[in-house]
Parts: sequence; C-alpha cells; structure tokens
Amino acid sequence: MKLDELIALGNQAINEQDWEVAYQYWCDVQTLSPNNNWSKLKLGQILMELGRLHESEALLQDDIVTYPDRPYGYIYLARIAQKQQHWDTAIEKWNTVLSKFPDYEWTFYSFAKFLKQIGERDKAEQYLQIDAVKHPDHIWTHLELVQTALDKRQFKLAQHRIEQFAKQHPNSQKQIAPYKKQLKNLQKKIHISAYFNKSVGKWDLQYRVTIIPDFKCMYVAVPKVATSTIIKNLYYLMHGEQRYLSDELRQSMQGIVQSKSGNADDLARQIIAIINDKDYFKFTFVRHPYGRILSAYLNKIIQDPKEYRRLRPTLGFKIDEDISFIDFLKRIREFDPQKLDGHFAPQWFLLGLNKSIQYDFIGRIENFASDFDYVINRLNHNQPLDTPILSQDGHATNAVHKLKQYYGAAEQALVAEIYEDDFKYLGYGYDLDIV
Amino acid sequence: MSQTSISDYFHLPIEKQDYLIFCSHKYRFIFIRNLKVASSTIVKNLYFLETGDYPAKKELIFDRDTTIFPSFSSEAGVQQLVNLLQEKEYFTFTFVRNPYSRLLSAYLFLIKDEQSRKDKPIDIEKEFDLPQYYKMSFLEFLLRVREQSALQMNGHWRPQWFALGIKKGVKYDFIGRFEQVTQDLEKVLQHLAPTKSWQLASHTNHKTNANQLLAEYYGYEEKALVAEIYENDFRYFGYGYELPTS
Repeated sequence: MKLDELIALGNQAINEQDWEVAYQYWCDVQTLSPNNNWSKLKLGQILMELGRLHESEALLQDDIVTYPDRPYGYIYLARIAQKQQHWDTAIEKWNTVLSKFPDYEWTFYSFAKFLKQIGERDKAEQYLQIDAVKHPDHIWTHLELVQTALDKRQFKLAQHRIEQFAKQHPNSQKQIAPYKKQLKNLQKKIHISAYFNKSVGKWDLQYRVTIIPDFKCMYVAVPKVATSTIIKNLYYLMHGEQRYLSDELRQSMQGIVQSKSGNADDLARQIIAIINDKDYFKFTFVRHPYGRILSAYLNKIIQDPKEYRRLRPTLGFKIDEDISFIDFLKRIREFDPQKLDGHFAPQWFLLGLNKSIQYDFIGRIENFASDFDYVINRLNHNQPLDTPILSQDGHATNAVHKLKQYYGAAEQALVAEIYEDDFKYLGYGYDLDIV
Repeated sequence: MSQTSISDYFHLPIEKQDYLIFCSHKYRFIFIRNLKVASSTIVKNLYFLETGDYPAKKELIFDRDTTIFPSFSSEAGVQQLVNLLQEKEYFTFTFVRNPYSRLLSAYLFLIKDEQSRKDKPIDIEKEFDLPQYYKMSFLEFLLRVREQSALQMNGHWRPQWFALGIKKGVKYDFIGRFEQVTQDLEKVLQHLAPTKSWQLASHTNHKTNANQLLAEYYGYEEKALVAEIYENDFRYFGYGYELPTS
C-alpha cells in the first residue's frame, strides 16, 4: 500500500474513533516513513485514547520539541495529565496552551472541557462563549454551549441555543438532533412541584391559570388582585367583545387550559411545557399585602353572603358570627398556606415565587393602569385595545381608602407577620401611610 | 427574636455598609443607598431636607470625613445603628431597580465609557485582573461578574438583595423603584416632611440612558446571564424576566 493511502486510512480510522485500527495504519506509516511529520503526533493521540499514557506522553514530548509551534501535541499532553488526574500538571499544561495558542480553534473548546471536568462549569461556559464569538463556525463549541444549558437545566436558554444553531448551521441538523431529544426528555422528568407549591387540582392551579395559545401567553391569577378585570380584558382581546364575567365565562377561559382528557397530569405537562417555552409571555399581578387581605376580609368574610357562607366555615367560624378584622387575622395566622383558601393564601405561595418559575412580567395593582396597558400592548403587538380597560366593579371594596379605618398597630403587626414573605418577595415596604 | 449584632441586618462589614447609610436624627429616617439606583439624586434631596440647601460639592454628601450625615463605623456607632434598626422608630427606606437596566448602566458608565475608565471611579483592570484599557464586551463583563461572589463584587453590580440585607433583619418601611423615582421620592419626602415643598433636584451625571439601550445590548445570552446572576433580585423585588421596554 502506498504511504498516502495508509495516511488516509489511518485518519479515517481516527475520525471513526476506531483506535486499534488507526494504531496499525499509523505504525505502518512510521515504518515506511520514519521521519513523517505527523506520525509521532498521531500515534501519541491514538495511544492516549487507548489509555497507554506513558508511551503516548513520550511520543508527544518528542513531537513538541520537533514542532514547537504546533498546538496539537501541547493539547494532548494537557489531556494526558487530565486523564491521569494530575490536576496541577494539567493546569500548568493548559496555561501553556492558552498562552502559546490562544487563537487556535480547539484551544478554548478543549480547555472548557477540562474546566467542566474539574467542576468549573461557569468558567467553562465563559471560555465557550468567548470562543463562540471568535470562531462562529466551530460547531462543537456551539453544541457544547447547548449541553451546558441542558446540564444546568436552563431549558429556555437551551431552546434558544438550539434554535440559533439550526439557523446558523443549516447543514448540521444531524448534530443538533440528539440535543433536541435530550431537551424533550429532561423536560418530561420535571414535576409541576418544581414551579408551583400546589399541584393541579379542581380548585387550584387549574382554576388560576389561563393560557391563550393564539397570543402565546399564560396568566397566573392571584385572587383579590384584579383577576376579573384581567380575565375580562383577555376575553375582549380574544373575541373583540365585552362580556360580563359570569362563572360560566370564567370557566370557559379556564377551559382554554384544560386538556381534552381533563387529566390532571396532561394539564400539568402542558403548563410545564409553557413555562419552559421561551416564546410564551408569562405574567401575573400582585398587590400590597395590607390592601389585599383587607379586601379579602371585606368581600369574602363580611359583604358577600354566598362567599362568606362558603368561606367562614373553612376558617372555623360560624356562618352567623360577628368577625372583626383582628379575629380574622388571628385565625388566618393559625393556618398553613397549603390549607388556606386562595383568597387568603400568601401571594408568593400561590405564584410559586420560591420555586423555579420565571414570570416575564409582574404587574402591580397600585400601578394597574400603566402595568396592564403594558401587558395589552405586549400581547396585541403594540396596538392598544380600542376601548378603555374594562374594570369589573363587583368585587371592588375600596380597600385602599379603608386601610386607615381598619388597621391599628395590632392588625398591622399581624399582617406583617403572616405575610412577611409577601413583603420580602414582592418588594413592598411595611409602612402603612405610604402604601 | 431580638437582633443584637450588625451582621443580623447586613451581609457587608460595617466599614463598607457605612458608606451606604444616610441617617437623619432630625427627620428620623434611615436611607440605605443602592448604587446605580438614582442614589445621588435621592441623597441630594435628603441633604436639602436636612439643610435647606443643595450640596455645593459631592464631598458634602459622600465623603465620610465631611458629610453632614452621621457615620456608624465606630463601636458606639454600630450599636446605635443596631438599636435604630431594631426599635424601628426611624422610617427606613431604599430604592431598587430592574436588574437588566442596572447592570447595563453599570457597564456603560464604568466600563464602556473610556473617559470614565481614565477617571477611574473604580479600577476595572484590577477588579478583573485585566491589561490596561482592555476592551470588554457586555457579554464578557457579565461572564466575569458571574465568577465573583456577592461579597467580592463591586458595589455597582453587587446584587441588590445582598447589599440591602433583604434576607437579613432589615425591615424596610418603603422600597421605592427607580422606574418611578420622581413619584416615589416625592412620596418619601412628603412622608418625612409633610409641610415642606420643593423642586426635586435631579442628578444627571451618571445617567446612561440605559433603558433605551437595553434592546441594543441585550441578546438572549446576556439576558440569560443577568437572569441567572441576579435571580434573587428578580425574585425579591417583583421584577419580571422580560426586558423592560419603557
């Protein structure tokens, strides 16, 4: 066989990672041509892959003495130190590679792999990112960036990197396919409890989540925080007509989220997929805890007979009892958030703010007009609604103006205690005068 | 549970935290300064409240040797501060800002702007172990910031929850927002001195029009990095993860 043929076959075997075969061919190359420029390097690489590290090291040392300006030998020597778990030597060798060959296209990629191996994941990503800018066509760097996002369970980032890869390397679809599959499989393993404190149930998450695929949005409602107004306006946005928000209409909006089978697991899957879809706009609205709980007390415990008949017993009150605001707060304090009706449960708990869900927008009722305008513009491609924002006055209890009437020092201290994490998570202050 | 030590309130040592505390015994307030969050404007107005005049030079507000605001770095000072925070008699407030725009503002002001770099408000080269005048993209800046712990970070990009002691014992009476600073600062001043009226002084030197530049500087990668590094700032101040558009 001719030398050129042997070299071609040897390289093909290396590409196919058939190290035993590659070894035979390159030994033949060296026998035929003892001074071949590449044989020591190739044999060094092959022996490294075969785990014959000492033999490999000797050949590679010779190679870098003969060819001090070629990066390959230095990189393989660093990798041998890695394989031997001689970390100090590996770091020293990698520093040599980085300073001698910073522009070689495999330098940062290979160093990043080393950093990953020693647990320096963020630093590894840093080198990959810099490399991706320097060598935009080096597909392995981009694939490793996808893998990094997958390793960290950053699903939206992984989705973005996969999409970018597909766009920028249309001829490398085969390489990206396993990563797509991996993303899908990893998402399947996530449970809804990673995002919310309560699972999907008849009167729970399902009741508070509205998903509108046409607008690619998901709204998570917090009871007593303008939910009726928001749902009504979303309905208007979808259908172009106003409707009184009856129970029936509310259910039809929730119907959007229900899976055909009505199966809670399917629904949870759907919610998880949307949370991790970077193109979906996820939003909610929150409210100052002082105002929210007073509004809940007035509306659900005092004023609305249908509601207080339902809710007073859940707190252990009799239906016809006189219940002061402070009695109500003291009772609420005894309950775990899990056991409280959504109208009284803390907002952080209902929204899963202690979990991994990332809301794209968190509006505040104190800024409702401008914050909701933002949402509508966002959903309606910067077109304002052709009627003013519709408000549903049924539940309004003018709570803000009543704050001073109902709050003394004791009530304030109780709310500060019960809803401490709402103050903390939502960035609200404790002073009542400046709410 | 009673709080007895300064470390029950703040993560930073008192020598560092002291520069960020502006207290008035006359108007009974404690303002915790949050860097890159309109703090110069706020302190200027607090100075006006205290003295009836705007400060002629910034040393009068920020230099610990010449400022009119008391220092708490001595042993007695620390105890006094702890007592004030524990007794909750003084109106305690701060301001926060959307992490995306705060970070970009820090980058544009401290790193991108060559004049600022030469004036060296902070030594970026030393901070990140870089050659002099090293040009750093926003992405690289964020990647380097991610390497630092909250304690190591410079105050201009240190996470807000950490600098403000949000997870510690400080209970803020009011947390204003940079995005509506005029409105919120007026509320605070009105609360501190209901009978006084004035024109708010604004401080423009440090403004970098960050909001308009957000779309220009933030690609998905930059956005994901800020979301990761500043996760707790999003979480604790109720900011959404989408880039603000106005």
